[in-house]
Amino acid sequence: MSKSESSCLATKPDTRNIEARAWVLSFASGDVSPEKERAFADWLVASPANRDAFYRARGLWDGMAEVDGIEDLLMDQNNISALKRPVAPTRRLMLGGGLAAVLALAAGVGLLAHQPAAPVESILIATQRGEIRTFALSDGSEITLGGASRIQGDFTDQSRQLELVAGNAYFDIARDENRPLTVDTGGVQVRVLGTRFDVKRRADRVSVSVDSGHVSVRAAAGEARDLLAGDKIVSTPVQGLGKIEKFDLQEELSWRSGRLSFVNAPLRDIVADMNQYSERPVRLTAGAPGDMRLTLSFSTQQIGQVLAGLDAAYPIQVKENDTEILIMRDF
Amino acid sequence: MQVKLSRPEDKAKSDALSDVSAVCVQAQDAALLERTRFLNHLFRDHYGELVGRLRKVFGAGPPDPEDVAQAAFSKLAGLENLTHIRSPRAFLFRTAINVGLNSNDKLRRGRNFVKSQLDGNSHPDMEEISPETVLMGKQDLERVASAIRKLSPKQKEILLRSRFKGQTYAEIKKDTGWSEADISRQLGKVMALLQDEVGE
Repeated sequence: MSKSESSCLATKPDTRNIEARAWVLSFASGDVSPEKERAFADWLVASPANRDAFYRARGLWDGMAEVDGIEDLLMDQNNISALKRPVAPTRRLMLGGGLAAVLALAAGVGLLAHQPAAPVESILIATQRGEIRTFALSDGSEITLGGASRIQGDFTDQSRQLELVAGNAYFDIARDENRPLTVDTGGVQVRVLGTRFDVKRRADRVSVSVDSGHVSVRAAAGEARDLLAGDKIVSTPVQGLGKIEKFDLQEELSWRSGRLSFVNAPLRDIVADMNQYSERPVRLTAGAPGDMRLTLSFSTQQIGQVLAGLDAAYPIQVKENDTEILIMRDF
Repeated sequence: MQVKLSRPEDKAKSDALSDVSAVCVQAQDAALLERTRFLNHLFRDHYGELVGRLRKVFGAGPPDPEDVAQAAFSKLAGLENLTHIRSPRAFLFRTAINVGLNSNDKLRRGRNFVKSQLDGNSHPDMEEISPETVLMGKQDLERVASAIRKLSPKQKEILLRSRFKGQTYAEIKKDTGWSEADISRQLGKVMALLQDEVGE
């Protein structure tokens, strides 16, 4: 960048602005080196116009933080219908483990298999801690996300690929024989044509529960299992898919109305779920009985009261401060 | 040079001078009092909301939203002239976000370097106060807001992580799986859109 700019008399304002923006972003990228800094210093002194352009670009980058409610504007992800954008040619590459499909939009990436052009719709939906929200997708499907959850993926003419990156989701998928829908999460792939099912991703396992219709579930390198309404399956990285079990619909899916239900569940899991909704993080300290099994049901609004109740009834001590809620062994 | 206060008129002059300086000190006290009152007022009005907004961006941290909010208030309190601030609410949020960026070593190094190149000196603490960061007018801010509404969810996510959460491209890649080249392209597009909208 700097070399060509040393004789900058003929540089068009447009080019200059592009370069200025690139420099601003280059410092935001976190990729710093003495060579880069020198190149920037050279570019900056090459012309007062470069300097002006940089001030403008930097002012924009810095100043956008003054936009009223900017954080809400950036977190408002519910504009899925607005983001249909035809991208051609589309090239795909699979990143580590094949979980994350990355779209390379521009040419110049090179050496990637060329696939037939297909319009791509990027999907990205996410919730905050404490938020339960239903998103309508362009194909007529609806996805309800639990707190602190996130889904990303792509819809094309041939496929609908989603990844549950964090948390849990209830999928009400519109039937499309020509475009199967897959959900990848924690080494498990769920495949459907159109049906309703629930997926929960935890630190150490993934569970899939089918509310209606037919769902095919496959763990890495294993055989696919077919699940029908009322069936549930749990997969762990070590053991792969477990047995197909029946589940209580009411209990399993009550989270959608803001109610968490647990039957003989370890405290560790209960705390993990609380953390999707609690304003302050709930933390099990070392020595706390994370394996203690409990059966309870409570509203996501009542986490504080529930913990106070547990403190009174079980050998644990709950301490709160401004930033977190700690669960300790009661001595 | 020695000043002799032997003659009566000199004595009178000297008394008058000390009177003037006493008045000055009083005026200074009054101004200081006024300023302190104003700062307390700002703190009461804005602190809670600021922490709430920062929680949305940083979660429980790091950086800790309360620490960052307090740092923003100290920067505000360090300003010589408080009347220059058009909107204390916007100033505090921007300052707090920038303080947050500085908790990332790589970003801090880059920001300090840019700052030193622009000013010819390096005073990281003065960063938020320099005139060139006194920014866009109301109309420009509205234009930027409208451009941001039009961004794709992916672009919003990347912008939020880069500009506000203070993540490097490598960190964003780790969280989302998007390649650094893609992140760079998306941000390039975002900046071009914003600049078009503001009409520069």
